[in-house]
Amino acid sequence: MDTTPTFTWWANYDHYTLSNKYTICNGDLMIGNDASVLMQVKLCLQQKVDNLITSTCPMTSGSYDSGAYYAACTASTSSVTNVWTSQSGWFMPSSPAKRLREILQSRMAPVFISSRKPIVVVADVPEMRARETLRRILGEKGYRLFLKNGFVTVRGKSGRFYQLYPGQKFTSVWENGKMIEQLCVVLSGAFPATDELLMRYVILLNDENHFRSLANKQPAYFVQARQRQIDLRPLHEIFATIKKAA
Amino acid sequence: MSAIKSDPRDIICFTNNTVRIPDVLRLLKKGDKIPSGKIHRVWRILSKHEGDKRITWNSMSISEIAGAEELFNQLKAEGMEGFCVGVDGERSSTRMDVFDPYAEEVIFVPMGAAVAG
Repeated sequence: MDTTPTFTWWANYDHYTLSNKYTICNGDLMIGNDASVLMQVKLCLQQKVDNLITSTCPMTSGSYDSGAYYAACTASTSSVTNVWTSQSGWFMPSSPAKRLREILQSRMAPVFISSRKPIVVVADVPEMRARETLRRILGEKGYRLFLKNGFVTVRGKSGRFYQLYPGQKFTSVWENGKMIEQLCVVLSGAFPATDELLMRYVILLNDENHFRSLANKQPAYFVQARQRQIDLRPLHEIFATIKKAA
Repeated sequence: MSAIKSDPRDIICFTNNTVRIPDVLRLLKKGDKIPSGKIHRVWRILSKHEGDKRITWNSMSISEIAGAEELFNQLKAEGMEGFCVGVDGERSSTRMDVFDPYAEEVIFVPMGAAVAG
């Protein structure tokens, strides 16, 4: 059996820029979801060890991410001891300084918040007919907005705004620029998606309270949870927290 | 969604009962244009499987008014509610509890099928 060579390497992952030295042993398995990253790993390894054979192939099963690529040191013993991956949660930079650098990098990037999903063209006759009806009701301008945004906005008598989506999706309720709840009213049975929107539209315009009484309500905590993920505290506070935790 | 083949003049309600459109009323087919003018009324009936059925009738014809009233009553008995709506972006919707021959554009919604999701 070969003696296990030990060496150090430096690699730039797609998500993390690392300058730490890591010790790779025979039998180690490195996982990443970017083939170019693994090419760097392969080059790095081949420079160090002559008899190292690396391979890159999609993983189809196992406990790792499906579709990931791996580079394995096959000149080793059969046991695989350590695993690295570029997926967040698996591999994290250890020092607080690096963690802070990551936060700085992410803050410099623009954030895109998009709930707009343009409506796609369909060949389904009932759906086309339903869209014709919606076009007639909304007018050209309103219909163009619907195609662009994927929803119709209706202002209720209470002053709240309702975002109506086709199909069996939640109706978002907005008040003072904030989503306050989501309502679910659907048509039971095989109705075209746009007909469901039409149903909500006419009921809502006619009687907002009746629409609300029909609906299954839930607070917009999904959105609030998403907003909580972005840590808006000052950087020195974040640094103090992660330094304490490290 | 696959369309279930049925007689074009039959409306499949959410209760799976069918309502026959009276022969005096004109059923618009694919590509047919809605007649212009103030005397024509347009009804759109949200129908299961087939999308909405578009019916037009002349409000100056006694026989067509009678046919429309008959259809209205049948649809109401099946749990469909008529809403008189504004068109071309005019945001209004008024429930039509009794037959109104003056309502220009009406959408029939299966209210019994509208449930909390």
